[in-house]
Amino acid sequence: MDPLEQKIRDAFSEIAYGDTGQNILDADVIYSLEVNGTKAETVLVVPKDYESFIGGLTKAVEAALKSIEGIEEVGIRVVDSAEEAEKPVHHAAPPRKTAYLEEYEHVILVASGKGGVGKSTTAVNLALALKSLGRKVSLLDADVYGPSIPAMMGSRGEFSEVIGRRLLPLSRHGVEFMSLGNLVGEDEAVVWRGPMIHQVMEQMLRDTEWPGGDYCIIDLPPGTGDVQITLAQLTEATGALIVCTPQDVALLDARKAVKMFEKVNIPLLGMIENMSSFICPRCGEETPIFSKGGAQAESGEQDIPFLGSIPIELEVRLGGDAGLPVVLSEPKSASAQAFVDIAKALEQQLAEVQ
Amino acid sequence: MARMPLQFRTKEVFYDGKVNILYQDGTLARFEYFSLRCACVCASCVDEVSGEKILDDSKVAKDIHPLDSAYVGNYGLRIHWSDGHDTGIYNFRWLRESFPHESEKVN
Repeated sequence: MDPLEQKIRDAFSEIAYGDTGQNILDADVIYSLEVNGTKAETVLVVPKDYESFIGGLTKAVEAALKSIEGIEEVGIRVVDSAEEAEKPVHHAAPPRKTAYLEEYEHVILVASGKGGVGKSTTAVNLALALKSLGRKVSLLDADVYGPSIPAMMGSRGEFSEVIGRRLLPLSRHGVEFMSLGNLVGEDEAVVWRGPMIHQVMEQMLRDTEWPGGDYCIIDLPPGTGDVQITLAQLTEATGALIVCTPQDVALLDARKAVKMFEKVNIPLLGMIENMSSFICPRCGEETPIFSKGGAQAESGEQDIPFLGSIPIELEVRLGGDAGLPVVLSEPKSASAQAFVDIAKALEQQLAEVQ
Repeated sequence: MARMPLQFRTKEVFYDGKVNILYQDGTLARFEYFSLRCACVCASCVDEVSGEKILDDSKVAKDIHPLDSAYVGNYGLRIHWSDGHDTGIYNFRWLRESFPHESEKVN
């Protein structure tokens, strides 16, 4: 018998087979044992009636093997019969990681239950607010049906450069961005079925020369459709933000968006109330046109952090239309301040999630 | 749900005759290859509209096993089975909440 086998036999003869009074060699527990280099692999047969021994046995066997010089790694498989032990065991490599946008520390989805709540405005201003805090930020316009990032970033009518199969993002105000609106003509309506949407989204994720950085902010189309599913499958999003107006109807739809993100394991980082109330540019008086505080109440009910509310101010619309978002055009305005506060609240949320 | 609960996040997945999923809360869940393959919820195994099962379990080989696999976003696992089938996505949350398995706390 070779000296290694003798050592292992000696060690195993010390291990009791539970309270049966036998050691594991006498009880025929060891079905097989192989040593390859520094790794020992063994199969133990423990019938169902004795399964309460398994925990103690595997620990003892592992410790015994590791105490032998030259053995560093131990693999133990426990089966309940010799027939079971003879069946081949199918191993496979661990799952591959296939997510895009891995060059970003955080991928943040900006979502809403319905359209027209100011989701793109929020995405753009949030991106610029994060930039103003010193972060490196990119922006992806995933609203393939109605891309509005080009207008808001001031790149209407421009086309992203294509080199071979690579798309170069455009850059404005220190933020790189990619939008379908800068890939196809502005008047071309996007009338696509689901599979086509999936393909185009994957192309924008995969073929864009993303510069990488702290954040990639993604402006989603409204609702819960193909683009949302595609992004949930193709990226490992850090989390989602839900933008809504204070009215009940918008909140109802926001609830659906919340459900969707739960299904695909994307954490909800917060709710943002847009068009919270109107601030008169003449007298400064605040008027809650669409009411106020609805989103905050809802976020409390759903146990989602509330990140802040953005007032209705003329500057927000003007900035969006002019391609110079309010965070840059009127940094002292109430809404610009609100966006910066929301960016800070978001960073705090992220620090807590980590 | 302010944040994605830890028990649905995964730390690691590995295969050793079973599908082992180690969740972030330290629970190791082990799933049988055969029963997972039979439970595939993709459109060719389950009718999308009626929810009726199309797959005939008796046609699934007893020694079915994964050849390859990939993570899907934050939430799932796509397994390429030895019978060539690879369209099903297994949701980590669904597996833990609704699919029979053995589990143990490992840390």
